[in-house]
Amino acid sequence: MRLISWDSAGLLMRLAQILHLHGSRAVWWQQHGARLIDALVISGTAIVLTLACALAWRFTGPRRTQSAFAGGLLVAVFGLSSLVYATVSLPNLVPNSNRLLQSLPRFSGPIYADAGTANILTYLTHYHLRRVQSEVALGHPIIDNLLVHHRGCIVINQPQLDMLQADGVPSSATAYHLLQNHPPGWHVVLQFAAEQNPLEYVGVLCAH
Amino acid sequence: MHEPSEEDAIERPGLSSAEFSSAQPAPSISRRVVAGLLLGVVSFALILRLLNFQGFAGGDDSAYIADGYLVAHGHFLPGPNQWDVRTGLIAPTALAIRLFGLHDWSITLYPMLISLLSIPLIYLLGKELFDQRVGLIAALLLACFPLDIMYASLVYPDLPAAFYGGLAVLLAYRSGKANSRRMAAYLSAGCGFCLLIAYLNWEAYIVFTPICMLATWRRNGKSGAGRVLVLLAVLAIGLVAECLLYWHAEGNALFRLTALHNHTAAQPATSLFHFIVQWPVVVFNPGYPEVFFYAVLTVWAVVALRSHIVRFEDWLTVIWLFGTCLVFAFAVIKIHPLIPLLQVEPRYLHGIQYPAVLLIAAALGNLWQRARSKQCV
Repeated sequence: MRLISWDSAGLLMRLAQILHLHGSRAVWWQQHGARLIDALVISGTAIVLTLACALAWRFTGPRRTQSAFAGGLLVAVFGLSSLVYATVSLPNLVPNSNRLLQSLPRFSGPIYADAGTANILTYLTHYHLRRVQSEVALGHPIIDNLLVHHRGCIVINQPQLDMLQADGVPSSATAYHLLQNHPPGWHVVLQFAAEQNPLEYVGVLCAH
Repeated sequence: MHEPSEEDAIERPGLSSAEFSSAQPAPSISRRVVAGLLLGVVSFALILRLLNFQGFAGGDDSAYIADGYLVAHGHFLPGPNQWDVRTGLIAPTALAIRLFGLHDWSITLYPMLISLLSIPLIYLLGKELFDQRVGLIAALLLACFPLDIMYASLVYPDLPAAFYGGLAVLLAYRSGKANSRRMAAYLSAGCGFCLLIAYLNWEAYIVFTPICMLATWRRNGKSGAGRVLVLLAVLAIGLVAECLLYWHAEGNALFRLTALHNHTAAQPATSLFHFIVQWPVVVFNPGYPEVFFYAVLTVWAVVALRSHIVRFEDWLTVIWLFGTCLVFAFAVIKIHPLIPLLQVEPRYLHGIQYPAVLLIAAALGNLWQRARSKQCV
């Protein structure tokens, strides 16, 4: 149950054009733009509410010493800013894997995924899923070996790869862009925009 | 920060003597009203946490939940890593899975209950260390704290460890005020037990031990040596019991240390400079909305209260805040890899959320008290 303020791909791309983001900065925006907008909305709301209530405190004279009025200002600042946080903050990464789970029975052979996605899929199946193999963060040379062996399917979960990268587990540009730049012998069988970032994708490539 | 007396007029330059002499003490609120207010705050807190319900995140929580699942089905044996030794979190998760099955709501039942219980806890801390008004303000602030809202429905050890650490400080402080030696001993034992549970949730919270020792050592002429000994004895018994259990299960009494060393030794080293610089980058970063606003407020509170820190309780809260910060930022690196803290993540700030929220509440209460004093003048 969230009020969406950041899930417009059009808005994010328009902002990238306005800010003249190209090359590596455009890639950074693709990975972090949605999160940045979300954070600025939440933090900005808290600051605006604080300033508004500080002004109300400053200019209300004797009324401000009344407990009810002072308490009301506190509830307005902290209660409203926390409501904004609770309803606007980004969803976690599980919904993406939920969508993947619905399609997994279609794919034959082993399924290779990053550690985070593999953990989520294993949990969602109540630890009964055996076909998904965790391949850390699909960095080199893991992804190179998988592509060469030409077997099974590879799950590319771009937001999850970002998270692993931020945790110090290096991924690879090859894996991150595999849905767009897949080598011969592999085809994309499933692709959808990530729940928390419309500029990133989650998908599955399978060997022919 | 408390009802002013004549001595305070000399020690507290923040207000003039005219303001002190005319200052009206905050009226005491009846128990029924306090209970009603706390119930309202807890209800609002529950709504916020349900609106932001997380469940399973796929990070470190996957390890704790998997371990809990294995414990619930009788197959668990801890491995040499940092996750498997956090039995303070794994055991309640296993119990919930055993009772209610594996669902998002069942695995997060424990942190959710702890998060809601932390609201009356911080009220009691605020009431004991400052006054009733500060306690109520702190309860509202903690209910609305985004970091707490987020982790109330995630299976991570930080929130429960912080709760037991805060409870330990409260019990330690109350033991120093106890009227009878028996009650003081019980409260000190309870403090030691809470420290043990906090440690079993996340080993870094062993650093709360000196804070509890300080909290129980009051300036009223009574020596706190006996209370400190009871506190340390209970904690030591718990640690020895854990060692014996690991010796029985794994053949290694120091299995926890071995597991932590094994986990962190393989990770890339972080330079001390990088680690220290990372803290303000993370804490005062609007890109981390779960901590940014409260971090800024904490700095404001410390600056606003700098000339009002005169009582033992004021110093205790400040030392609790800065001492924990310093240990997490500096000392942990020195004792790496015993306590793995290689990355800087906002959730580590759970360790200082209680003193930070108390100081913010005290500063807000002081602001209101000053307005009343000026009104009377």
